[in-house]
Amino acid sequence: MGELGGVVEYVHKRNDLRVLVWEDHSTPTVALNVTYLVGARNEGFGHTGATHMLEHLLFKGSRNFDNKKGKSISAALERVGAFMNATTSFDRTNYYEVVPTAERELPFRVEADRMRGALLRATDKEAEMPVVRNEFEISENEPHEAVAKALYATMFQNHPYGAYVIGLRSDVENVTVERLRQFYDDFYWPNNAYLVIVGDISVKESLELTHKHFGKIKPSHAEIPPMYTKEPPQEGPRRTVVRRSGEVPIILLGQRANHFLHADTPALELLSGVLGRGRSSRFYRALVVPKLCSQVTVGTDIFHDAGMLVVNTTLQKDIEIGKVEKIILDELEKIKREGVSESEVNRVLTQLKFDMEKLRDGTFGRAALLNEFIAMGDWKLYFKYLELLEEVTAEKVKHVANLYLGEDNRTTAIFIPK
Amino acid sequence: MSKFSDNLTSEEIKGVGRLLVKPLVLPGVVSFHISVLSGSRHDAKFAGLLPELAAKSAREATQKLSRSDLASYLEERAITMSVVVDTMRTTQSVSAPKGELVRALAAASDVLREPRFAQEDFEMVKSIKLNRLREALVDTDARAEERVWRTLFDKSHPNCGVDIGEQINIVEKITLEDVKKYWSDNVGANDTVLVATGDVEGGKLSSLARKCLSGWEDKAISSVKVRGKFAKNQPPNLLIEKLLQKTSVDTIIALPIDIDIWSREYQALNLGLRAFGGHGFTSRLMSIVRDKHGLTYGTYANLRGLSRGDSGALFVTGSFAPTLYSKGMSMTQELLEKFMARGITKAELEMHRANLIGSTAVSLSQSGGVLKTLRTIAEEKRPVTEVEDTLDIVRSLSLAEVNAAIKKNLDLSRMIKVAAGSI
Repeated sequence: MGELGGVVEYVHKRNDLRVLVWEDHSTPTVALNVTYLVGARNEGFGHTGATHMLEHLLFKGSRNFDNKKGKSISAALERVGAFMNATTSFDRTNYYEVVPTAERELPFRVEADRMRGALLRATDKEAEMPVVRNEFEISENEPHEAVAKALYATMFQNHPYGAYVIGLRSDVENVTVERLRQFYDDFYWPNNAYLVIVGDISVKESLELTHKHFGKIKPSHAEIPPMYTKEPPQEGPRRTVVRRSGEVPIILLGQRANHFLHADTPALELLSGVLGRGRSSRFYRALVVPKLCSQVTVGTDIFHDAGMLVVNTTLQKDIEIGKVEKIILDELEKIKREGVSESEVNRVLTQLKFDMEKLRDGTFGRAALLNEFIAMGDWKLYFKYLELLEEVTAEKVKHVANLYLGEDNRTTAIFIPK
Repeated sequence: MSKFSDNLTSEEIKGVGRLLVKPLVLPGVVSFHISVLSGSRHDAKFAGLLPELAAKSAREATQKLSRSDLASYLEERAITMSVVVDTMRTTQSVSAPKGELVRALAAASDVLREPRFAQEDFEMVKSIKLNRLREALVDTDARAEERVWRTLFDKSHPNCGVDIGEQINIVEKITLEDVKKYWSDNVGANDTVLVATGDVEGGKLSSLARKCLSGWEDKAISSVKVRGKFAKNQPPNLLIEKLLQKTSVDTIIALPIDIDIWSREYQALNLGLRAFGGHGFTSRLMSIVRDKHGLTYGTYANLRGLSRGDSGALFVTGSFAPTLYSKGMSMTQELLEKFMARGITKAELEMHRANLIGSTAVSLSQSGGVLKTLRTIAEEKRPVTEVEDTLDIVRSLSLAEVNAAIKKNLDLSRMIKVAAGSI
């Protein structure tokens, strides 16, 4: 057992399920979240998008909650007013429910049943495939999404991050239910999951309900398949263009970075804030104020295995792409050369600290933040991250700027309207 | 079980407006909204597009602080501030660290009361708005929605609006002088509402509000509620907005609607519509069109445009692959017609009644849900027990009432269908 920031951690003796409980009686709700350590990073060509497809199928039926018998998971939960859904990302899949306190046992029953009792029928997969494909189609409708996919595919040519979470259309259409079953049997085990319980429930009751519903589930027979593919170092600038019907150009410029737990991540976050967070940021002043772009953000898309610092900007119609690109590159060179000021670092640090506090909004907010830090590799980092950010100096920001903003580390994706 | 109205502070502050505060356990974080009467309905000259442009220009700088100084002032303190304009009101949405509440409220007040309206700030805001409208030209969802409003309502009703291309032409013509005049004529202490949640205490905010918001001139404008005035001529069977290279088609089946949202009948209709197409997976639309037939990622039914007391519309939306949209729309229409003819079942009523009651508790556990509810109570002058009162109505609704509300308020003869995409 461990404790940090009011969150207590337990490991179930029988099956190694890790349990985090964050007791908070301020509102009459309980959030339950199961994070499986499987995401798009565990896929390969032929079954890209499988994690996401599986997430959909796990609403179709399990031993005790079967749509075909009129007892669906959704109906059971929505009947009590639950806020519930599931999401898939590069590094994890999570299923969550927020329920009124009186209904707090129901999510335990649902998630325990879903963990090893999924039915995964071929007929369900056939019915769900066009649903997932339509989700793919909706994302393709958006120029920003289309160009983001191109950016990832160009930067990550070996690592599965390159296929994006939704996967390739042909894989979504053709993956077999047997392959999905294999995926389920590889990864959906208590020893590959975290159960997060937040809200109006005591630690004691949380553990009793965990034991009651998850205690009988055995751990995996085999080792959880390790993910060992690494993206080789990038050795030169890359560029990709998406030319489609549209109105305004978009530039996404990614600078390859390390994985989330790497020591440089906090400094990179501060660097991205100085460059593109808010109206005081360098890019806002250089691109939006002079009416060259209608928006610019800079973010750190940094995940379990790798990541990037991304400049994302929408150009004003008829503004020359080369002109904006040159300004972006000049600013990157300038920050490498001259570094950043203490006041810039302090401004972004204040904003990031406040962001961290805002994440605790309600039982769902707390469950969600733990879910994301679990996926990055360490839930405790949420509570330590502030200290790591505070240790970053202006000098350190300049150092990481020089380390990560090089030309050879760069991938540029451009949307050109036609 | 605690009630939403427990621990809720409500105060009419003379010379300021109505204050509602509901603390929530979110240490160190305060969120508040300041809202005043003045929305798109108060602009007849520029098709309702001027107020948003004015509010966003005001947000840029105050008499005391230039654009860059205001940005630094707020961002160095982690204060976030954004402005939204709807048909009737302009709302400042602010979040701030607890220790910065005084400065955050003062800055929000300055933005509303003493905007700078510099030419270069206005030009920038205008260019951003124009570019967003250009993006909307190729957005299937935006194109379908604006076509619905233009088709359902008579040109004399402000809901009718103009198409996106025309909106671009109109915004291009707006000048800084128009913005200044609009602000000067319309924006003031018009029915001011201040609501807050998070790590905040009512008494303290009340004294701050007196300090920051009192003495502001009331521009004596009033709500502009427009009922009825639906389009008379039935449009062709299906209206198509053609866009190139779109992989998904957005569809809307819509009916105009005119109902008092504070009536028991509205609650009955709302409950019926949750069963038909509410968010979640168990509505008829989602369980049949998505789960059973796999035709769509999402299909929903909701009422739009009614919240300020206007006439509005029922929107039944869906997204479909271009090869499936025709089948998807037909199925959706069939389900809608069946719903309107036969209503919902007893089992559906009980399921969605329980869902509404439970989901209210869940939504009020987060600051976003709390603020939205507080604003509704304050702006619409509802009692602080509004949440409990509404839930009492929901608990007591009978199946006959729900089905009668569906039959009475949804008129199939006024149905229109719009599809936007590469068809």
